[in-house]
Amino acid sequence: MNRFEKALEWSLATKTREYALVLLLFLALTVVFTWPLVLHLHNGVIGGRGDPMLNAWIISWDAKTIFTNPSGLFQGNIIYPSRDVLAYSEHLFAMGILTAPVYFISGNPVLSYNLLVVFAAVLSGFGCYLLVKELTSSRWAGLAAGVFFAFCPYKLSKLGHLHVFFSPFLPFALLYEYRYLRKGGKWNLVLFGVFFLAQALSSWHYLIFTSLVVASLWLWVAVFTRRREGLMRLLGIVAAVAAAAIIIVPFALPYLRAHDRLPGFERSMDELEGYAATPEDFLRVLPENLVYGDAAPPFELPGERGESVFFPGFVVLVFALLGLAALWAGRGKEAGGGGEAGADDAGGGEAGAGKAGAGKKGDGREIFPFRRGAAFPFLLLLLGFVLVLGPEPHGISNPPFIAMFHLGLLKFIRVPSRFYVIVALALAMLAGYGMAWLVARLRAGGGKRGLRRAAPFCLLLILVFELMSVNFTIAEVPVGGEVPEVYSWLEQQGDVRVIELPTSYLSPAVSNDRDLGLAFTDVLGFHESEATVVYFSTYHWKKIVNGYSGYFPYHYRRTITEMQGFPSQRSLELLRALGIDYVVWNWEAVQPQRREEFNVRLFSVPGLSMVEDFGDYTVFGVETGPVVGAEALDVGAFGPDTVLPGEDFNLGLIARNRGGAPFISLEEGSQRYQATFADAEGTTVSVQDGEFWGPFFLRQEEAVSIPLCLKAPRESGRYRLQLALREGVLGERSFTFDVDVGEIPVSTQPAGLDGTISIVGGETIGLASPDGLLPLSFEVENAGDTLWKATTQDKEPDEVDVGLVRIGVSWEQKGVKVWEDQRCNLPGDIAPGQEVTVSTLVRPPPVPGAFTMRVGLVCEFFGWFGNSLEIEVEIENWMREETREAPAASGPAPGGYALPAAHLIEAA
Amino acid sequence: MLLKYGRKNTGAKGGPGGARWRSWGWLAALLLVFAAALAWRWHFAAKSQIYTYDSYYYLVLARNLRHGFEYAVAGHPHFKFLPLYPLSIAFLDLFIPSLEMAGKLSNVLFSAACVFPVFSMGRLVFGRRAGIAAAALFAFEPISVAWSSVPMSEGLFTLLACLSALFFLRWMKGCRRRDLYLAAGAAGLAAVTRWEGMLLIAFEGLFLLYYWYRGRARLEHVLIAGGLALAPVAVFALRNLIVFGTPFKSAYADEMSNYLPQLEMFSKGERIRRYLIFSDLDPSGISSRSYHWGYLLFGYGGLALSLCVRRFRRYALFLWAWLIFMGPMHFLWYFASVRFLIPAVPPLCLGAGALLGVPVEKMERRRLPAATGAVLLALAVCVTAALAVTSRPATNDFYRRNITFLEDDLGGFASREALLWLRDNGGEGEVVTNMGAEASFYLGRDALFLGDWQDFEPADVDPGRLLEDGREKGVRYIVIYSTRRDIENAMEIAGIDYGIASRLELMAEFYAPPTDTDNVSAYAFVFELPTEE
Repeated sequence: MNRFEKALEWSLATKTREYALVLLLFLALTVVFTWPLVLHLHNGVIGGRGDPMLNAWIISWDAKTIFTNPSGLFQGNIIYPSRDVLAYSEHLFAMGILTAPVYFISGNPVLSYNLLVVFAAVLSGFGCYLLVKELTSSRWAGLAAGVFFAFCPYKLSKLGHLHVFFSPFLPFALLYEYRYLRKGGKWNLVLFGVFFLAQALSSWHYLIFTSLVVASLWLWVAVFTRRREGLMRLLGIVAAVAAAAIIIVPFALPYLRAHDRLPGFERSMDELEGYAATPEDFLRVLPENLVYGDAAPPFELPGERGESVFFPGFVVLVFALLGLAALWAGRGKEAGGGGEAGADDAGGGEAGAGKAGAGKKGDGREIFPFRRGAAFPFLLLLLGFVLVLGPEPHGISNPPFIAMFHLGLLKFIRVPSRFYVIVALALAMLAGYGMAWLVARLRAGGGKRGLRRAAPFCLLLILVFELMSVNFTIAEVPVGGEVPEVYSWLEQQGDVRVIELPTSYLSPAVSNDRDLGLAFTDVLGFHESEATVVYFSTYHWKKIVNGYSGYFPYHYRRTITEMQGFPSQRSLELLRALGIDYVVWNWEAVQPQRREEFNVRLFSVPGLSMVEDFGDYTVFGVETGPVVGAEALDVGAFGPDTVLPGEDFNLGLIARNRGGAPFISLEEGSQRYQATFADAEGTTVSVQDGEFWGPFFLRQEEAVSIPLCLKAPRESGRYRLQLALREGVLGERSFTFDVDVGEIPVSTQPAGLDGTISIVGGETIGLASPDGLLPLSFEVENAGDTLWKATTQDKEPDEVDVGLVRIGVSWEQKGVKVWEDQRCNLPGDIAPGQEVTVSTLVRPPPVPGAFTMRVGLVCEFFGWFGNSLEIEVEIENWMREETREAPAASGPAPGGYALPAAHLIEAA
Repeated sequence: MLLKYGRKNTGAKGGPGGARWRSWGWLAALLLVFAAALAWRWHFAAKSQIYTYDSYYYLVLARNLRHGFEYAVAGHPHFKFLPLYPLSIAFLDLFIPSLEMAGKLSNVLFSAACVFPVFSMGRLVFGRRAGIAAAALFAFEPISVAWSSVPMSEGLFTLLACLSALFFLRWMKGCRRRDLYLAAGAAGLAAVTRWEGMLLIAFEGLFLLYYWYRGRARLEHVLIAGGLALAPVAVFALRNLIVFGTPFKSAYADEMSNYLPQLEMFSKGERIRRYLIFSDLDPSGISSRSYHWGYLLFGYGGLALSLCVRRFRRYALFLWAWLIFMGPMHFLWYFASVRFLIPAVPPLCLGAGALLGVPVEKMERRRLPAATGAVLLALAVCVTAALAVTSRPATNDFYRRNITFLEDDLGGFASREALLWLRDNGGEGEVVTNMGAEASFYLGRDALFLGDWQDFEPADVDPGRLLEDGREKGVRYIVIYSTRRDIENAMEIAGIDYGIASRLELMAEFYAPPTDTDNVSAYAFVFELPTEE
């Protein structure tokens, strides 16, 4: 025996030493597999500056709040004035607790984040090692399984998504569940509960993943359980999960509140479908993988499918198939591998694959034959596979997925591909069985010690080499003293509210008055810049309007859209109404050709004054001013005269600010209403309840329309509709209409579309400067014989708008089409002969000049109809006297101002 | 040899008959690997049409050897490229009518044939499955595949190095003198194929001296082996002595003595690092892609692991020495092309084969059920197949950046067409070009050198005295090239004064469009030199 072998034997002689050695091994592998992260633990992240920055903020917020203000855990300082903002993404509570000491000592969110990455990798591997060693009694099997579960290509592809990568407690939960079901013991149960809880509180993703894994084992064992003792243990698991649930439920409440309050908060089936696995995904490889990174066909690089790096490598597949074969071959035996008890050399006295089966330990308390139970990983594999396929793989309905979705279990998981974590765990376990089977046979029969040791080591090395991925791109992040000085200055201020500007340019918006989809010209750039602002907020913790998360509420989208016009008076009024104290202006984010413009405007606009200058950043103070509440709103209602029997129709509330100051409502919740249909005799035939979201911001005399959706009575005839608004932003009000229910052509299948449109207030508009959004009112009359359908408030953004009638807006300059096409929504359905005033918002070009705004009526997918308006819009030059001309389809604008290229459209 | 080993290690099941069948099975598998290596190399060779400067030298030397037993080009006794590879082309040309085909096929054959000694070495040291895995990996190894597509000496040299190493390993294992002498003979032949053969002799010599020092070899055996290894070199030195008056005449020696270290862009450490990762990335190299990392990972991993196992250690040391002597030693003084690394590929593949094959070897020794072996074999096959499949992008890149790259070099296709046209349409009289041995090859007869060539071939015609020297040497035709349709530029490249253009008659000009995104247009111009003023 040489010195190395002696040292190894000594290391494995006690469990403490063995575990320390294995932990060190996984730590070393983590350093290699995440290389060069170890060199940037304090100042760099893998996965870009988007999600990692957000997660660094979340764990820092958790760490800061848990011990100082636990009741305010979900009231994060970003996306002001929204509430429960932590619930817009994963809460990462367990990670926050784990990282708190590091965060409090170092004050470095990046270091805290990266140590969690390392912790996740090491503990995932170690946990899986213990689990598979327990199942197979083979250390080599445990190592193989641990290596795969910690470093499989899918997990490595999620290094930038900590909430998916962080799985350290999942194998431990399964291990202690298995131990408890097999042998009982209260500590096993307690530890199961603790690890289940820890993993479940890491993220909602892992609550589902862990629950599925744990429930699968529970069900599988339940099938084979006959004895009372076994049943009691099953109940013990239920009790532990129930106890954990008591702790978990409070964390769900903010999510449920947000779900109730905010439209579009839950994931739709369509959204899920886009992220479901495709057959090609199973050959998708990680670019950083040393063997497959060049992606020779049939392998493919992730590209846009970064969520679906599913190819696990051949080695683990061979091991897993072998594991399955071994299980199959051993079926019906008490302990298939036991007969060839090939002990792990250094450990001694351990059996080969399957020895962990019932009865062999002789404790007399085994409750189920795990030889049969060991098929569990295979079933887990199938379960994971079914779930990654999403709701409709290849157009075929996936009942298990759909059932789980409708049970509400998947409504916060945007990406079904993430269920691959379950596949990875199952593959790791099966590969462990395969490895154990092989090692048992390699160990048995003696032979030269060198080869006896080298053979399993070779197998492990082959697995490691095939998985090996290094040279991940590190995004360096300013930390400590490198953080811009402005943030430490902010930290010295009192209770102030801040917005950092400018944000990225918006792409052409279809309708600015309702669906603010926040389509940026550079989506990644926007995400990274906002996430960086969020990260920097960990250095001052002031409330900021900026934000980055899994959900962007209407307030945020509207404010960011309005800020495209900053420092216009309108945008300043909004900031004033929001109670914003400071605008942090980042000169680095300004387009070079607009720096001069902003240099003039920011220092000359009334209501804005410089407070502090930090070179790349300048802080401006926003003057305070009065705001009015809902009592200043003049609210009317509009509905169609005629509607189709039994069909949905839209009516609208029109709210106008008659007060002497801007109106703002920070209430994100909806307001309920009740609509009652009564027939000619006064008999109530239908009572419907619904909800709508009130206006957010209205300047003086500005109006907004709010659509409501109702269902018409089935019987034709004349009805009286009484609309009663319940308590909410607009207060309790009621309106009465007469509605004819009968057959009428509808714009979704148009016959005779005709109409007129005119602008309220003259066809020449002057703007002092480019502004974010411009409020306008139009008189619209339905002069045809067709009912115009308007859109609905709860329509999904991607739904097709076929047949909806809207006001269309396009922009021209000297006969050449410039800027973007826009749409304005009607307040409700309009029946033939009806006319209505439509208040809406349009977005003028962001450069000075004389423009013609062409306005008309458009029936989506069927074309324009009725008359069209040509409205002259003069956007004054803030720099010089002469008026500039906007560019045609290409080339820079005169004077050095350029419309973003993505905004330009072909010449008319 | 193959069958003999088969009988020795088998026989647990099925008796001697079964063992024989299994041996035939291994032979079939090896032949399959050879066929794959041959086909994959020919796939690239079939596409290549323009070769390196060196290739044309080998081809012309082979032709002159066969038809006049003259080791010279254009009447210049040759002192750069060593003779064994041209001799082997000349030999193949006896059976293959086209010299060009013989040249291309030779490299493909020699390179593909390396799978046999690679298998044998793997089998000898690590076991049969390790051998077959190593051979399969060599069959698809990117550098050797890409560079087998043109007539170059690396294929033959690597084959001889492999044979020498195989016999040396056999000697290390069995101490049979015959193996030692065969190893020395093969190393000697390698030394007259490429100069790196001397490094092969050196490192094998070091091992041999160590074994002599430890008493495992007798002095007379060492001396005989040394004599055998140096004999071919001595013969070639004798030829040099007769032709040049000195035994050590070599263009390489001149190149090294005249080498300016300040021109080297990398430090020695960086050059060794690049060698170790088998990469010649820009700026000094050509490839845009690093070597296939999987080969490196498994190769070095296997070699490292072999060092850890006592029973493999001495062989692993030999393989490490082979890898280092065939690579970094080359790079200690300059860095040029990734093809220099081809002779270092076999030990790398053997390392990978060891890693894949050792568990199987363990199984085989214990003679357990076939199913277990099948699983491990499946594992090895899967990983080998994965490495083979994923090596394609690197192979394509090496081919594109090293071989396709030649298609505009020295006028590329345009020069070839011009020379072939001149061969078919030109009259009597000498031809002078600035295209090196390429002109002699396509013309089917020796062409004179316009200016010196590659700092070792003296000029037949001084470009500054084109008319005078030309008339003196009986030159009638001049062929020059450019990257644009610009005679002045072509003359500038050739070093000819544009003032004499009016005194030359342009007979034909040829154009070849770019064949790749990195290539440019090529033009060639054929002039006739007036016989008198």
